[in-house]
Amino acid sequence: MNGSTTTTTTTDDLNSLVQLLPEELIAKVIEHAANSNLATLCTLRNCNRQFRNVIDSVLLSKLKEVDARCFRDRSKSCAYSAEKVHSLASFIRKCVQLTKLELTRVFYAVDDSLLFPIATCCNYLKVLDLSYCYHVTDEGVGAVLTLPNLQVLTIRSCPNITSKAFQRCSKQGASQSLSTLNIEWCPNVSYPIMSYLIKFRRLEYLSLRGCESVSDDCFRAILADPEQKPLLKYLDIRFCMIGDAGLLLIARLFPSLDKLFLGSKTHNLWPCGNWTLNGATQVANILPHCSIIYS
Amino acid sequence: MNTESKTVKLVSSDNEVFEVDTSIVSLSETIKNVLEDTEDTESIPLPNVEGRILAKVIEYCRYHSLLKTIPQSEEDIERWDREFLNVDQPTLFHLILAANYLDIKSLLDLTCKRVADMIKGKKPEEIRKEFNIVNDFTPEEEEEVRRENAWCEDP
Repeated sequence: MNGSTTTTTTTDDLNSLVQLLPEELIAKVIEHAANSNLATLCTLRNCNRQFRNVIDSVLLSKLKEVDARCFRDRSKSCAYSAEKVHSLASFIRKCVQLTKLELTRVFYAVDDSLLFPIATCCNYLKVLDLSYCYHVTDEGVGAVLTLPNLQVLTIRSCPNITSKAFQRCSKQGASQSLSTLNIEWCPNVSYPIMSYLIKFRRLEYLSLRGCESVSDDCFRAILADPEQKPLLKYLDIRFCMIGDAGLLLIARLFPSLDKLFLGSKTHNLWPCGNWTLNGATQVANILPHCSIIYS
Repeated sequence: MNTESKTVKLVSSDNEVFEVDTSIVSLSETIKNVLEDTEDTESIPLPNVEGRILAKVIEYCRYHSLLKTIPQSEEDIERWDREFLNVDQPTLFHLILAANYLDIKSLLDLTCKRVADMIKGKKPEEIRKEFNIVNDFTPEEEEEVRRENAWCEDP
């Protein structure tokens, strides 16, 4: 190697170094540097036009999965602001190929005005996690439920969510791809939630854990409904207000159940429903193949 | 074509000639394809690679092809790679281009990661300084990017 060539490199040469690389190689370097962290990717967008354009056109446009870990090491300030929501919406609009999006760690930048563009731009989205996004309302959730390929939706600890979030979609033709729905610790989800949820024909996995307003009436309401029920395999009703009557209804409505989760009355301080061991035994007799899990 | 125990002459852009064992340079998909496509090739011109860079690439290929017969621990390989990349920035960037042109995936990954390590943890202005990148944003564009990044900016 000719050492003198490298030691006499001028500033002009150095200026051209980044420009020297074709776009796909700059993208490769940036991809390694960001290491799946979106906040780092955004920081790199600040460098110059070339970096911004490469990130937008090469990296974000082909991004498939954004899980919660992609947002790590950030959010020192969790204060909600419309500006943050707007900026995250602008960012997600660029990610048109997304199939998975977990927004838990950026809950402070999520409200309905973010969910609306997701509903229109992310047509490939299959998995969406809105846990702890406590600013979202029925309108926003109703919008994302129209996503044509959505298979898994998680809404946890979202106090503004009521059963109405699922009403619009059930009227307009519920998603036929949704197979897993986690509505957990949403205290305002109540009657007639199940009347809407049975419209999701492919639903196999339903968690209503901690939805303290879900009671026997929610299941009673669909007993007479001529609508064909989804073939639920998994149902979690821990910490709901379900009694023995509700358990019997569930056993009749969902004969394909493999797993049924009930809140254990032994150690939990949280209200676990009004069911009794007698009621659970009756379910076991009706559904002998179903595992009843007390936790 | 059998690429074992034969040599080939690689000719750099500045006409330096390197005679190397074909089994060593077959780490390069580009060279391997040329050797497979043209029987009895004696020399391959590489107009996109300078001699000093080609020498480094051959050094890399020699070590890594040797690992097939004399395996070494991951630690030793990492140490060797680290020392191999202890070069100035122009050499590093030319190595990236050469690895890309010669289609040597492992070298391309290694060199890109090295540049990525120089970027990691730095603020935009530090990155610009490190690589002499000119901030070509207009004030309006800069403000727009700042607005777009508001969701992940520190207060």
